[in-house]
Amino acid sequence: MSLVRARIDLPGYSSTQETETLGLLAVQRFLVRQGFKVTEVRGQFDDGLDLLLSPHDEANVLPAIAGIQVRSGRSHRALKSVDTNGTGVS
Amino acid sequence: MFGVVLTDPGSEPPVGGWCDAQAYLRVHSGVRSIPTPHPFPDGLADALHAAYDRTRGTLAVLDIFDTDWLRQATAAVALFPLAPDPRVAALLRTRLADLGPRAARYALHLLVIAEAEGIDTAVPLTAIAQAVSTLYEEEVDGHVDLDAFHDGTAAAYSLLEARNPDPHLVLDEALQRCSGEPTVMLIAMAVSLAGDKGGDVLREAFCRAPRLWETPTLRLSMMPSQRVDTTSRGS
Repeated sequence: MSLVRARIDLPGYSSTQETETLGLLAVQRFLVRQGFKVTEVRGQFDDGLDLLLSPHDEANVLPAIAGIQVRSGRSHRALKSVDTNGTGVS
Repeated sequence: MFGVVLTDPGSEPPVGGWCDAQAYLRVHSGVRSIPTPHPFPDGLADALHAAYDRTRGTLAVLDIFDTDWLRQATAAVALFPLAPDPRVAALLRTRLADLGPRAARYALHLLVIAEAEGIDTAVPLTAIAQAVSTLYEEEVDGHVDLDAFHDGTAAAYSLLEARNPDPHLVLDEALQRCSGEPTVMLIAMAVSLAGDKGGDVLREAFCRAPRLWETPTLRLSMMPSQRVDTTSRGS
């Protein structure tokens, strides 16, 4: 009988949760203040797309959307590109 | 698609960088990582707005082919963020002669921008001359758009300057038009393009179309030494 390794296996726990959330919030806060409408992409789609945004003012009524990948933490220096499985920035 | 990498998201302000990932991949295909050289958040909002403007231009571009002059004009305005794209110049080259006055005005400006960016727009002289004629037509609301008239004519001349055609060919185009203001303006452009030899071009215009003598603007342009023999002019 093996023990659950809490720091690795416990469902709902992620050692990077705080860093990732702070990063997303920092980017969201900036974009909202700049007049964008920001929608966070649900985590079940791990395709490198974290935020969807569109301009949000009375002159912009087209459903133009841009995507943003946010990576947070000292281990990151660049974005991941597309790999053979199609994940990452496309 | 943009990317943000925050190495220290908890600090205030957050420390990190951003990039236009799609633009990078367009130039560097096959890479496994994309650098984020721009300090966050400097310039990110402007880059996103510029991306939207390009997208809006792309969405509107088909209206350049619409027969509705108002739709054409709206599409032409939306194309300004894409003006340095050679494909836009090629599109406008094929459509310039078929646009309404307001759209023609904007299209001429777009082509001037393209030329300034070093793009050979290859716009035929005939299309530019046709656009000048169109600028003087009534809009769908029954009015001549004076802004299109003045500003568009100036843009047409700037485009001619950039294309640097033979002034005599410009004169040919002018005289092929059914007279009126477009002809006068095209003759004035031909004269100006000819520089020191502008008097020769104007004299040729009067010889080929003596009725031009009835146009005060052109008549006043003739220096006494350049005047043709008016006693021989036709009706």
